[in-house]
Amino acid sequence: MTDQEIIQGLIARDNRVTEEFFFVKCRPLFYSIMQKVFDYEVEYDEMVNELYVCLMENDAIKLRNFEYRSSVYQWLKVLAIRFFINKRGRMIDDTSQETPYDGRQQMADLEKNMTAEGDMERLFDNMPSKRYVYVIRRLILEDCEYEDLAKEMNITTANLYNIRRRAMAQLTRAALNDIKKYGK
Amino acid sequence: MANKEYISDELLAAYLDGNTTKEETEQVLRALKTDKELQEMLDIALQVEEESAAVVPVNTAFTEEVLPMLQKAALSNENICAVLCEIYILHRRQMPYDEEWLLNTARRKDWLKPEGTPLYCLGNLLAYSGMFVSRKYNSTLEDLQRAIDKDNDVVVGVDREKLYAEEVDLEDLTNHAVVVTHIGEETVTVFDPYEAPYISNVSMEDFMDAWKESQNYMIQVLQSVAEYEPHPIDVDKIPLDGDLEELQEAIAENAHDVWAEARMKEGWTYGKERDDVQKLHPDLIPYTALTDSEKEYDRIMAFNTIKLVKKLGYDIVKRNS
Repeated sequence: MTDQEIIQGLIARDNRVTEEFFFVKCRPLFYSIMQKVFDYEVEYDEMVNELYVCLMENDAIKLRNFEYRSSVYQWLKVLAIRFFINKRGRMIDDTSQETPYDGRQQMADLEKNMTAEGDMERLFDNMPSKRYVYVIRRLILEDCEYEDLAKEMNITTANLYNIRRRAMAQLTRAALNDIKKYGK
Repeated sequence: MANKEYISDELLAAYLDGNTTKEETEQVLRALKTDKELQEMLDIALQVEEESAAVVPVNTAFTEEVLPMLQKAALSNENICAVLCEIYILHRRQMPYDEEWLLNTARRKDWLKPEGTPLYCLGNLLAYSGMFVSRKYNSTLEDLQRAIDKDNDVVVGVDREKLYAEEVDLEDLTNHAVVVTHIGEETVTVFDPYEAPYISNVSMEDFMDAWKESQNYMIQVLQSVAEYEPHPIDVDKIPLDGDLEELQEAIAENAHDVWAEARMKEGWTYGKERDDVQKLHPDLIPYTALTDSEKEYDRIMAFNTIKLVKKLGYDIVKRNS
């Protein structure tokens, strides 16, 4: 199934797609996320059903708005992590009414953080693989075409996609370590 | 209070897949500094990513015994190296093929999964194309050499980063497939669909290091079915506790019943001597009436099946009724 077929199948509430993709293929993913989010026992099926309801609410608006900027699997992973974290917050303290996304004032306080580019260079220094740094630099900072970079690196674009995903994981890990180290 | 930058799920997923612009990437990293929820989300996302690439045995006591059946010969749906290796073999054997059709078939049959191609699916397209494929864990260089000497095509599961010394290896796992074409004194020649010029020599040391992550898993395409040699997985060292030994007897009895039912449906009946023409068989009696030596076949099968389940990283847990 392509990502388009999965999204369309889920929107149409196609039983086969819903069952095979959401409830079967994603089961290990959801289970793994739940194990990390909750430090107490939760009912797997109940939680996943709630996630499904959330995904389908308002005529499946989340699915309809999906822009295919990532794989469906990656997007669903992020969506599920956020959903379960919020769910945990509500379960622990129902009185907490803090809206998760109350600060939609994008780019506010930017001047305070305007060392972003310098920060990224520091993260690059902390990444063990300079090859990954190079891939991020070329693809993201310099907006190089995938085909061109793959050619330059003597690899296929499919392999470059894979390297890019790992490079982003390494960058993110470096960022999280940096936050721990500097206590921000 | 500092304003929280809004990072949508779509943006975060695109970031993790490396599909963000410079500005968006900086936006995510900036938000990460102050947004505790985002920090936790990304930490979990990375953990899940790492975990999905490795087999996590349920019973860690058997970690060393677990075969990496679920590790990936090609990590992620975008990485189709396992399929390309099989296409290379079809091409080499001058078999007609349609690359797009093969890819679609692998996806449709769930051999190429969203998270990659598991080792146990390696070779399925070749078998589907009518070739005789045999699989083996714990293979040796001699096994590879024997296969190559017979002109049998060989695909192995490897840790890609270990194969090429200049690459940094972050995880010990199988994430790639290559075709082995020649074994020299100090080098191994492989076809790697993602490493131009595609046919290259890697040092023996790097190859062995990379191959061991799949527990020396190989598939070979036989010239004919006559070459088939069974390679059952060695489960001798897998211990069974008391409950599982009881399970063994239940599985053995049920296996006998399944076999007897199938035979009877085909018209076989009990006879003192086996007679294939009249369809008579002396074992068409209840399991309890079989002698111990006759039960032994079913018991061994059950015993090995239970051990194999454990060896593949699963555990059997008795549900309290």
